[in-house]
Amino acid sequence: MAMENEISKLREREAAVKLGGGEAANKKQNDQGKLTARQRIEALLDEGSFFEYDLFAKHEVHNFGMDKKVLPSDGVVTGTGTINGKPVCIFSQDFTVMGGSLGLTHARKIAKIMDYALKMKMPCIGINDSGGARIQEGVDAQAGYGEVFYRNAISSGVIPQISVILGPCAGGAAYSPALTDFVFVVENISKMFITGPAVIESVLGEKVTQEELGGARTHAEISGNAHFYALSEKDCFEQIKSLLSYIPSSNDAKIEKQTACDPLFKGDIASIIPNNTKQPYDVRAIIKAITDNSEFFEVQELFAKNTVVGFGRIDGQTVGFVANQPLYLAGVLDCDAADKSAKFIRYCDAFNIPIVTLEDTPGCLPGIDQEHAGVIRHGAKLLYAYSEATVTKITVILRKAYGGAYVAMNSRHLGADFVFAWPCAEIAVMGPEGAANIIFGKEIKEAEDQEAVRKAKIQEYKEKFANPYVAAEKGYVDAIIEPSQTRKTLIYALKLSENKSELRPTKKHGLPPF
Amino acid sequence: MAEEKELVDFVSEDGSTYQTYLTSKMEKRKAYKRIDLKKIESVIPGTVTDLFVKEGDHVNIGTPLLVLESMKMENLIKSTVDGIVQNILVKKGEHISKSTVMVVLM
Repeated sequence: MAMENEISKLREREAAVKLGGGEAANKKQNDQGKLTARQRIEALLDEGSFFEYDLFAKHEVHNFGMDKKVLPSDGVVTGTGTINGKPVCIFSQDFTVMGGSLGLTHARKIAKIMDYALKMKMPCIGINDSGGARIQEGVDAQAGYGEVFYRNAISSGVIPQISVILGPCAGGAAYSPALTDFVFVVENISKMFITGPAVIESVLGEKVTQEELGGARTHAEISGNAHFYALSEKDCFEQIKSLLSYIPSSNDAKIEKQTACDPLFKGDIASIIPNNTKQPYDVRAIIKAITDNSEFFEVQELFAKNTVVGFGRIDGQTVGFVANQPLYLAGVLDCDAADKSAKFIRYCDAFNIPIVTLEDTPGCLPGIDQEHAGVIRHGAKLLYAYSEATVTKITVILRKAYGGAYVAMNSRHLGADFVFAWPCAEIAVMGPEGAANIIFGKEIKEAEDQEAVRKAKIQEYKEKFANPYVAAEKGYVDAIIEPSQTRKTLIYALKLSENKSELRPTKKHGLPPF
Repeated sequence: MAEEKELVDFVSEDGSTYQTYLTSKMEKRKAYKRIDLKKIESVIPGTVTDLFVKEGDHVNIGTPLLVLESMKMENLIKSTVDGIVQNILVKKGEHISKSTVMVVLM
């Protein structure tokens, strides 16, 4: 009987703590279109799989009347569970408990679950909904952030780290998500910034709303801090589940191979590219014509749209796609596009996901703003990431491969394992118009009919260089393939390179351009 | 290198005022400007090769406005809002730089 008593006491205690900030606060959270910390965990994890740690955690602060404050679970729910059967670690900040503010106990709970994720080699998911540092704790709050950042950095490239911004995440708190692999945001709910609108107005005199400054759309489209944008928390959780189906649980775990299936696309892949080489098209249609079930899970869909990156499967196996997107800015490379693709390439390499590059780019974006923004060091990230990667690297040149962009987009010269080109590929140091004007400038100038000579010379250059055969003669392109054979060729190349092993010189770490 | 600039008052995040130098990047920075969807700006330099609308035309989201040829590509510029064409500020064949207002809607 004594045991029954103890058990019912435990249950009472548990129930009281699990109420978080109380019924009224929970209702207020729900009324704002936000789930509570515990509801979010329930919605994301497999039913009944959550196991909570440190439910009864308590802070030890006495200053400013804190000794009289009871903060259930110290404002953060931590534990383990499964998503689609795969184990994960999770923490979820509880905004109903003192605004989800981060104090030392709160931070130590997060650090504990992060340590566990690293040791047990499983993904760590952090749901951020916090007003920031718990000011009453002084430097202990800063210490807490530091402990989290350190673990983010140490776990980087070992286990997948996912940040979900479901509320404010301002000041120092915003840096933890930035150190993780993927950041999810939700319209009207996510708010991220280092200094808020009030400080900006007082320092610079400029007015801006929270949404404009650091809302979901801003981070998904302009700053590039977010990787996935959703309209509701429910949609956001579905995105997280999809992402986890593509990636391994750690850098030494194999990705579960899915049942292979044909693309839903049954037409002629070559017909996606317009005959007029000046006409744009959506490169995602090419990706979907290649992948199993025509599925493509795009990363950073709204940011630097001139480059497309994301996951798909070929013959059941996850691959990372990096593609130029002629539909936006003609598919040029610029600062943002280089940052976006370099990070994705390094992610794929860290987690052993083969990279398929689809190339159709006229080159780099000319512009004073680009040069002043450091397009040289940003573009260099792309060269570095491709060269450094030892995972299987395959390139298919669909159409244009001009100038430095040809070299940057996983060329043979940067260590590509396979380089294929479609027969319509144009691989040259620069476009025919520009090249003809330079090489034949004198002849054109001296001609009676300048326009006719210019046209003839452009055509001559086009025939001589703007094709895949010159590069194929030199072995820079392994094979020129018919577009309809693309998927078959990729399946073959992936199969062939399953046991690829490439060693690099031993070093402490490289120095990628930042 | 000796600093030839003048010290200026600078309000920092904590509200206190410092005497400090400004970096040249800070001096040249442009104030934040809200994007006006009714002013269709070029996001890339290029040549206007075709115009599909005239002043007074009604347009909807997605209505083709013009073709801006840039980086070997004919980029179809579509309206991002519903409205009426108030002003066309570019001519066919005109070469324009980035951030040029091409069409104003009302």
